[in-house]
Amino acid sequence: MSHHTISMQDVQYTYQDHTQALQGASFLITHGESVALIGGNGAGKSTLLSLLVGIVFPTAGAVTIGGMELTHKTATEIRRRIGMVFQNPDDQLFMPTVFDDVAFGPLNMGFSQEQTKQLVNEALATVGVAHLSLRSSHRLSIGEKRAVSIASVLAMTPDILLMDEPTSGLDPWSRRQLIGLLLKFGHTKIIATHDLDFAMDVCQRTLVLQNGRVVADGPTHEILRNADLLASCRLEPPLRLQSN
Amino acid sequence: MQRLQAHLDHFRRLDDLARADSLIHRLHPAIKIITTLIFLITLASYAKYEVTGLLPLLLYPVALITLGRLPLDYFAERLMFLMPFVAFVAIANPFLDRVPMLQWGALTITGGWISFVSIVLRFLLAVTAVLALVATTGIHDVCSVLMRAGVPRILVLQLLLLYRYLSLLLEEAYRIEQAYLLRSSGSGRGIAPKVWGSLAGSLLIRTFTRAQKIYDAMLCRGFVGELRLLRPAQLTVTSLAYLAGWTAFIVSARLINIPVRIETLFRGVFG
Repeated sequence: MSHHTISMQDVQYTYQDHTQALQGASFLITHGESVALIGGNGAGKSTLLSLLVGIVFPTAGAVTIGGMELTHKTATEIRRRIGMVFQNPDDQLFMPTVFDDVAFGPLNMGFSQEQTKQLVNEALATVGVAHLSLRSSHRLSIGEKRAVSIASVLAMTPDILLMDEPTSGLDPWSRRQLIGLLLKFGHTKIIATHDLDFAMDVCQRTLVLQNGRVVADGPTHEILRNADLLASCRLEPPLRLQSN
Repeated sequence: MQRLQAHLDHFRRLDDLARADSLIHRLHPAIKIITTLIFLITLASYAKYEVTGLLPLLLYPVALITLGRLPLDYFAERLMFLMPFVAFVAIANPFLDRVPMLQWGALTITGGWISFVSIVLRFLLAVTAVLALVATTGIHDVCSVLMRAGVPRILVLQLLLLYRYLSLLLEEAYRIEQAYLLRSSGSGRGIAPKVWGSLAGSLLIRTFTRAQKIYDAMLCRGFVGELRLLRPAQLTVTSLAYLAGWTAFIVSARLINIPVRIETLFRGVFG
């Protein structure tokens, strides 16, 4: 099976305070698909992403990445294949400079010093922030931080990209840049977002989550036109469809 | 509010300074750390009443600030901020040690006052030297050298993250303080002591939450408990010459009381 497939089979997850975040989520995402994960607040989007990368593990059901079931034993290996971009870049960028931050992943993966430097330079150039390499991560604008977060993940040459609310806090220009960037990537992508216009631009397929269950799964242009479905999930059609 | 903001600005400025380029910035970080250590150990080795012998050592921080193109006002401000603490440590000396040491006409200077001046002078020299080290080296290079010198990786990791997140912690504290002051009755006297506990608790919980998120993010990027850093550039001849030059100067200044020698020389010529 390809390294780039993601599947969940009847996955359930309950937090320690007994909140049932996921109540039997199932789907299969294949090589190169770009999938939007949408749903109201508390629908389980962030928990689902955390389950895919082994930050938390299912209380029932199975997560399989590239044919390998995600367990405590396989988590390290699976994390090498998946790049996760967090919602808040300050959680992700912790080294003193941008260059060191982007180098953190490749060094952990065992790349040599020279290979790491090359990967870092390539990743920074890809997201268009090579000029920031010596800056402190925490002194950047939110758009620059987001770009560096993506570079820090790209430098690990992942097969799959997961992103949690990538457009939050971005100004329109930075958001447009991000869309252009993501359209260039051939990775399998899952993007949790409330920005449905963004989902329309970047993702061909959409999963709708409600109360920890996948209540709809289909082509983005169909799902985002289904006003009744969206309303029942505390969502609204994208702005560009509302004006029609 | 302004005080927290000032601390934040201080951290940011230190980062900015470390990214600049100068003769001192380009030296190998290990060389700068070793030279600073030699300087600090030498400072500590002087006798209690030594003042004149310390004066030549002023050349070291002055040279670092000048060659590293560091702003004098930054150092003056940091030293003034720390001065009350050192004065507090040394202020008992003039009262406890009243043995007369010097007599100029009617003015008698006691041993306590001389040791007070000696402590303040050493403090000024030590703090300036360490600040200049951080301001011309950057925390990453310092950590990289510490790790190669055999300091346990976990300690280096702690230092690195502490430095990085101190500013975020200050920002968090600043936000809490701002939220409190904007909704307090406007007494204008800062935070009431009775809510210190709950505010500190709130800050602690926020810090724990953030720590967990950072750890998750580190795991996602392949962290398995071992810190790996990029190595600084190779040792250069300039760096070695820098170390040799300063070591020779500092050791000579320690062994020979240069101001007293100069005075003796002048007396010999003109006396």
